[in-house]
Amino acid sequence: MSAHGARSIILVSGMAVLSGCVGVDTAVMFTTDNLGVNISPTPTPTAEIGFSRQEGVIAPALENGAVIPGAASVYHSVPTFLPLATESGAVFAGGQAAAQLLTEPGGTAGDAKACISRAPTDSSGHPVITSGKARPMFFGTTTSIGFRISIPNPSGDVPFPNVHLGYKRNEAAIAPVSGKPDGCADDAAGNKYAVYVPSFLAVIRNTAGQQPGAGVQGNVNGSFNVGQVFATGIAATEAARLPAIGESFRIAAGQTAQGATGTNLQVVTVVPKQLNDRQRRAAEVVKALDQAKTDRLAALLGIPQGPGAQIEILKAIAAVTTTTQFEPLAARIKAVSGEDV
Amino acid sequence: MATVREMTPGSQDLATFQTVVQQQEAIFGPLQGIGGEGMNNIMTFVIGPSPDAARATILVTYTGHPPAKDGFQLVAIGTCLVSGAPVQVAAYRPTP
Repeated sequence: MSAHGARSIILVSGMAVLSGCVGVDTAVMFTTDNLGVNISPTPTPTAEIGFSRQEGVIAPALENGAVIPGAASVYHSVPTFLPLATESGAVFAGGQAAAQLLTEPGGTAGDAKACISRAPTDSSGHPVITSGKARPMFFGTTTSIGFRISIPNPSGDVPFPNVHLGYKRNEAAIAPVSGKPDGCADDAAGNKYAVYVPSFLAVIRNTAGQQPGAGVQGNVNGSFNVGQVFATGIAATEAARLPAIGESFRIAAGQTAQGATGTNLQVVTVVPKQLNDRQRRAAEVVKALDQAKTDRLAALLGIPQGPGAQIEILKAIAAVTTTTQFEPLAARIKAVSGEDV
Repeated sequence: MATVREMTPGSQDLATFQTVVQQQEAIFGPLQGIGGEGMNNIMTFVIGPSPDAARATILVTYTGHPPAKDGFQLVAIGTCLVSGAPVQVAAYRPTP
């Protein structure tokens, strides 16, 4: 394991110790991702050139192998070895938001829970998961795109500078696990006890030196665009329903045209006329927005801001296939434009 | 002039393909080009005002040269997949 991975585990484990018992009543999930040049003397001397990524989960394994949901994805599209000329995206989610990401576009995920027969206990028979008790949750990300050099402290722990060029991101969540005695009343196997983790979601998507979403063929300008979404609870679950966020996840999973062909083509097909009429109206409103409002709307949709934002928003409109999927999009368009669509 | 390309399955019949083109025109703007790629059809749209429903693009298959159609202007031609088979397709738009 590289120093990055080791450091992250130390970091999240240290915090987890403060908040609960890792792997029993607390789930830890983390990723570290580097693309470019990374020279880091601490805690273990590391020199990386290229792509590296560590992912990990420490969570309770319940009876019959049941575990709580979590999902993470990343993609990089690098036309040349030029760290700033990449198109990148990462999705990191847990709980209901993770379940929603794995649902077909326009669909609604079922309850993200693990159903077991009774409350889990430790070797002494004491319950290890409690309900009705507030416990802290930690969820955070750090991102660096570009060039970063830390100032060394010759007399301290960091005698040499950390140097990074390219894309680097860390994501971590320490989430308390909760239980509900009658949360699985409809479970086909008859298991009644439900185990949950909170819903959380972090998404980043950036394009640099190319039109957003244009993939490696679209190097048309010198812009740098980045969009980030960070949410917990119902906000995370609703954000996971947004077409652009689902698309980011599916790109990394190779389930979209971009992942398959590198040309970032969206597959579209016939939708009901009533929905297409609303799509037309939404597109008219979006096309009439000035750049500032377009950027505001892009931010709400998790789409990189900038000159290509309008096209990406229109593509998000085109990707909608059901009225249910359209409603959150319509609400955000109204929030920015004041127009009903 | 900004354009966007979208893809639709080549397994569709011509009427479905035409409906897809018209629905995407309603979102992005006028159709600019069509063609097949792999097992799909690619449509290119110019970002701008969408044509009225009365001026939506229609698709016609042809052999040889695309025929002239009274009351329509030729928008694009291309070898597309229709019901999974490659055919020449012409896109026309009603003239104002």
